Amino acid sequence: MVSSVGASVEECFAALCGGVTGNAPLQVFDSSKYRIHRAYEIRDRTGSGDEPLRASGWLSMAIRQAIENAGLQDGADRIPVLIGTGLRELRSLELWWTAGREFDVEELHFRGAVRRAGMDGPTLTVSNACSASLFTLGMGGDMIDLGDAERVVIAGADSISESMLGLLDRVHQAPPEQIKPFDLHRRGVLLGEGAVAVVLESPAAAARGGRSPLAWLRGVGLTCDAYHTTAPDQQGIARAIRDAHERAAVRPEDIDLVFVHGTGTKLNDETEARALREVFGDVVTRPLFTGLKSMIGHTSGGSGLMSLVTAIECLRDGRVPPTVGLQDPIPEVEGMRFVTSAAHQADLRVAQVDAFGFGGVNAVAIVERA
Amino acid sequence: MTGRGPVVVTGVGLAVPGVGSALELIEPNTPEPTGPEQPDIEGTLGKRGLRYKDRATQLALCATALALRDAGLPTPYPDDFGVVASSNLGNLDTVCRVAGLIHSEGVETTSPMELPNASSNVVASSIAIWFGLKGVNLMICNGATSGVDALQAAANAIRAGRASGMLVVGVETDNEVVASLMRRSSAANGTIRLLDGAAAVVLQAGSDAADVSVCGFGYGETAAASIAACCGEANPPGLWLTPNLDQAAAEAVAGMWPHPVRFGDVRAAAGECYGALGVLQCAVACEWLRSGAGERALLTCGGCFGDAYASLHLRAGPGR
Repeated sequence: MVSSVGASVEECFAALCGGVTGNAPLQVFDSSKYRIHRAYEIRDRTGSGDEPLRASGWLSMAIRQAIENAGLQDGADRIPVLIGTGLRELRSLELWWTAGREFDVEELHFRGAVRRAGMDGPTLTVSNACSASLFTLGMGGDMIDLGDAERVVIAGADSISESMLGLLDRVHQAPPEQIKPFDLHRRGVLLGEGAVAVVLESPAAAARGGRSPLAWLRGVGLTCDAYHTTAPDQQGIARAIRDAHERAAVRPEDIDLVFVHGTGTKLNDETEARALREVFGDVVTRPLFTGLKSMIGHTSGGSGLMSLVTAIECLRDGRVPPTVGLQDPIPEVEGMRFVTSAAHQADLRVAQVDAFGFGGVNAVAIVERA
Repeated sequence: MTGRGPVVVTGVGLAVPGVGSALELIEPNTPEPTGPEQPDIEGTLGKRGLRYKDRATQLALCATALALRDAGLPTPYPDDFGVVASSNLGNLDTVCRVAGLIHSEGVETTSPMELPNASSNVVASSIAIWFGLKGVNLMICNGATSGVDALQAAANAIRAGRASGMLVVGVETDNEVVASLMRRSSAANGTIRLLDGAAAVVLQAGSDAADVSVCGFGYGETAAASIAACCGEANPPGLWLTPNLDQAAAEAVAGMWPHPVRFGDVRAAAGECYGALGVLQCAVACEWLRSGAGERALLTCGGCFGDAYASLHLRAGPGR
């Protein structure tokens, strides 16, 4: 995992538990052209201008980390790689169009990045907005359940594009300085960037290879609101949560920890809170809740899988990072146990991870401690 | 294909300029186009709601309407009816235009109505909204194999019990931005004619009434490897819709079959279809099987713009 607060899972988890935020002034985008002036960028550019294929670089890095962490050989057995992304390499396309930088169409869907990570199997890139990497998690889980693959790599990657940065800025009523999920004074979302990858394996294949699991993927629920191109819908989100619980064979009272999508926009947070209340009912006061966006920004298509990897670390470690920026909770989350101000220690078994995207594409994953 | 029963194709729709029937795309001797010069988008969908939809979304909605009509399903569709769209180039013009505007004049000059079109999944989600399809919703942007990838993702959603039916659409458009980008690719040799159209098919969980059944998918670094992976020991197809191969290379691949197989190159008539190719080929193969011309059809896409190959094997269903 690579984000604005770290270049590995260990670095990111330590920073997140410490409440470190990657929020900083825009690095290369011309502030005079925008109303917002901050984002959660990765500071890896070598000069003062922007550079192409940054998301591709982080993706290669995250895949290599996951393969190495699993103890697999590079490219062994033509392992399929499924990539969830909101913005593909659109930033590199923009640099080609606006600044004449070199760009080849085959880089758009990360084909080259996967090859450069040493993987020689098929690649599948799914561009499902901000829930993309949990959609690919669900698809990869299905491939294993159906017997089509023994193991797959699931990844997410995004860098900030000028068009998305600008159009999100355009619809803000007042430009936010930071993300404040579920807070009364939240003003909206700011973008982040990075990449993340996990190796998903059938229990039999892992056992044969002598690899012990970090966590069990219990189920992934996938729905579409069929309601609005950018606004969320309580019904569609609630259906996704119920679908995940049903596939994972868990009840709301079994969930110990929820990683919210929590974008810090007025409508999204209210709608997510209402959907959680609808499904959890009286036990909504039981689990811990937290969200990462106030520390790493909205990392677009990769955000769901970044939450999932962090959730797995929480299950293994017992610490839960705080929802930085949440000071005055909105009435919709009254009684819900959000972790705020500092990391919280707890004995956790089952975690739920939410990710919702433009177009009403909802994905919810359930993971269990191994 | 394992999972919860077979997957079948029950509807086909095309929105390709000048093309009336999918079979025209493999009939080199069709004297004149039978379809209208441009797909009748407003006539198919009505005018309302189209104003801020980009070209790719409009074409995809049009092909979808025709495929759903062809499948003859009752509405409203069940909650587990989903969508997979395939397109690589669909919203690149919006992205470049907006980036150019911000770059030169700042965000105040952009229109907030562009926001949905800047998200690459606008085609898949717009179809869901237009037709009320609330199941799994996927946007595949996977280069030259995207069309077959989309069909496989849809088949898997059905096999895994996530969906009872899936609408699959492939669409690409032709405009200044994408033409300029695609011409740069070494595969284009500086000149390229691009599809500006869409094709859609409806996949459903197996039914005795179906005309066409999905047999299997295969991937490989060569066309032959992808075909071997999806056909196994099955009888040779009657029709093979070829990827980016010249006649000699296609004949070399077909050497694996004991008797001659009819070739069809959809790209010859439709132009470079890129992410739409697999779905367009699937539409052609379905109409060919429905016409009674043969029992098995095979389609292969990929092999260009840096991508490997993907194949899909279809056979005539019991309901034909």
